[in-house]
Amino acid sequence: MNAFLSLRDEDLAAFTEERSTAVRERVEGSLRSAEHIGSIIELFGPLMADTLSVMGGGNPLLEDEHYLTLQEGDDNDPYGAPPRGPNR
Amino acid sequence: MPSGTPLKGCDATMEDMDIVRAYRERKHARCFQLLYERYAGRIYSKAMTMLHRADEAEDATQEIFTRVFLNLHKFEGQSKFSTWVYSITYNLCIDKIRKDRRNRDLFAEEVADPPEPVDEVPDETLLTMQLDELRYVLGELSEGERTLLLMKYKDGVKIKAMAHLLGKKESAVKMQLKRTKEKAKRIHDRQFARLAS
Repeated sequence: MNAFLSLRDEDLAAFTEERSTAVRERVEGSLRSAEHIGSIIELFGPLMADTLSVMGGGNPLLEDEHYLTLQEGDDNDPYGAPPRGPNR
Repeated sequence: MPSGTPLKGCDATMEDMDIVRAYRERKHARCFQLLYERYAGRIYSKAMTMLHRADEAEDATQEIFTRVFLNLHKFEGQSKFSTWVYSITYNLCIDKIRKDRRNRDLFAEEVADPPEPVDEVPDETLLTMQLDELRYVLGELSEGERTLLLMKYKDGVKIKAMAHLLGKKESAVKMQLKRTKEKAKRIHDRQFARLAS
C-alpha cells in the first residue's frame, strides 16, 4: 500500500475511533429538527401564504369555514350575567 | 431516525440504491445507520483532503450527511450513489474554502511565474515515498498544492472531475499537478537524499 492510501486509512480510523458517534448524533439531531420544521410548514404554510395574500389585497384561496354569528347562535346574551354558581 | 430503533427494513447485503429507496419509503433507522457506516468515514477523509483540519472536516461531515439525507428524495439513481455523495462532499468543501478565501492557488487558472519546463515526474516517485516522508513533503507544500495531490493520489479523483469541481480547464489542472509533483520531488530529494547520503 502506498503512503497516500495509508493516509486515507489513518483518516478512516481516526474518524471511526474518535468522531463517528458524535457526528452521527448531531446528524440525527439536525434531521429531527428539519423534520419538525417541515411538519410545521406543511401544517401552517398554506394558511400563512393565504393570509399574506389577503393582506396584500388578493382573494383568499382557502375557503373559510362557516361560523355562526352572534345573532345566529343560540346564545342571545353572550355578555349577560355570569352563571349563578352552586346553590347554597 | 433515532438510534436505538429496532434494526429492520434494510440489511448490510443491500445495494446503496435499494437502501436509499427503503429509507425514503420507511425512514428506518437501520437504513440510515447502514448508509452512515458506509460513507461517513470516506466523507470525512475527503473533507480532510480539502480542509486539512480535523475539526473542520468533522463539522463538514456532519453538514454533508445532513444535506445528503435532506435531499435523498432528489436522488433518482442517475449516477452511482457514491458519486452523488462525493459530489456534494467536494462542492461543500470548495464552497467553504472559497468563503474563507483560503487556498487561492487551488483555483488559479494561470501561474504568474511559470517555472522552466521539466520532464514529467512519474507517479511512482510519489507513490514509493514512505509515510513520514510524504507527511514532510505535504507539510512543505501550500494548502492548494497539498489538496491537489491528495485529491489525485489519496482520493483517486480523475483530472476531468477535478477540473469540473475547481471550475478550471483540464489542461490547467494537468499543468498545476505537473508542477506540484515536481515541487514535491524537489522537496523530497532536498530533505531525504541528503539524509541518505
